Amino acid sequence: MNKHSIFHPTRRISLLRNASLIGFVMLMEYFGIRHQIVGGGPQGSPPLDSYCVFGGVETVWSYVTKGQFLQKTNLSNLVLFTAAVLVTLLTGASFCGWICPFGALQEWISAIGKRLFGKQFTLPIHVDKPLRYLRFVILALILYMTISTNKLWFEFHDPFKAFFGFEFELSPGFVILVLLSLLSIFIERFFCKYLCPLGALFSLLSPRSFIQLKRQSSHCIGCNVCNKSCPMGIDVAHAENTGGDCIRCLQCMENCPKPEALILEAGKAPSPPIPHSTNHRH
Amino acid sequence: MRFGKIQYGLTVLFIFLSVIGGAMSLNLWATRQNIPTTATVTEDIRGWMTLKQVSEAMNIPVSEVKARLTLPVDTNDAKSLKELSSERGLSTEEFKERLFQK
Ligand code: SF4
Ligand code: SF4
Repeated sequence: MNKHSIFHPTRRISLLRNASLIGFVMLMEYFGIRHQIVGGGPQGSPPLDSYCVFGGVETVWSYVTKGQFLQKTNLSNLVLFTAAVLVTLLTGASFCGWICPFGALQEWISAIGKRLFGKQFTLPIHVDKPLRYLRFVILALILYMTISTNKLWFEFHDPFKAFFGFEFELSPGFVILVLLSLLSIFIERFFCKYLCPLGALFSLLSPRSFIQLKRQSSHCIGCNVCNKSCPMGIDVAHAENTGGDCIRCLQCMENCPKPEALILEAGKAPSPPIPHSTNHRH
Repeated sequence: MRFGKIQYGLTVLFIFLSVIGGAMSLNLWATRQNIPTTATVTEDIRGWMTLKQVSEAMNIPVSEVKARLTLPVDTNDAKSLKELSSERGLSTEEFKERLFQK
């Protein structure tokens, strides 16, 4: 594993990705604080919901069927959702690894866990595998409740809003935020892997993306370093390509000792999806 | 076609920001909330609405709005429900419900 500082030339990709994540986190914090200070409405500043990619998923049904946006959402949500879908179709689920501020928070909390315990914990494969379907259940539940109540049903449970909205009052979202933060100390990107409804959607599109992350078995020496560095628990070392759960953080590429073993390639048909495994880390 | 890691990262950011920038330049980027023209249920009222905006949406005088919210008659009409409710230690939801209580 690459133990160099993030400013070392061999870790340029981590530096760029973290700079991008810091930028988006700061932007969200700015929007959240500005709304709290100035207030909402036409005379104030838009709510955080207007800058949420998932808000686009939630409001699209109302917009298509009634020509109206759900309260607190707007055209901006549809634009953000379109941008994220286009990014996914072209490059894979890189929104999660390069842009999502909530993913960034979890990653940084995990870094604290790694320092404290010297490692990250993983769930046994028989728990990990079925649990990954939970995010599809959550996606279906949110869409069903949003359509039937005609409002942002998830907003009171939303840990993203609880953090970036700067309303630190005891709400379901705040409790979920605290629980997720604790879990992220032990299990890297717990929310992304098991709970995120947006990630669920992107994981369906990502295997068909234009640019794929592939392993060339002719160059791979089977050292398993890629598995140890993958925050999503993907069995990269035995895959042809990294599949729908890959958030394109490129940590596997950065750590791989063989420059040609893992490549980003465009234009060829995807190989079959690969198994997830938390047991392949060692 | 092969992509380098840095080239890939920059491509991701370029696509995402280009769509947003393109939408902005085509006037497709809107974030501002509109004032509801009518309000018949609690959900129609927003916390950011001022007493004046509430009176217009509910089609009742501002004095009636103040009476329903048990506010002094000299309360500033330009204050929002959120501000007024937090000054009184109430939630905005409780405050909004008062507007429709008989
Ligand atoms: S892809 Fe690279 S890091 Fe992974 S097993 Fe092969 S050589 Fe090792
Ligand atoms: S497979 Fe590689 S790029 Fe994908 S999530 Fe794992 S470490 Fe990141």
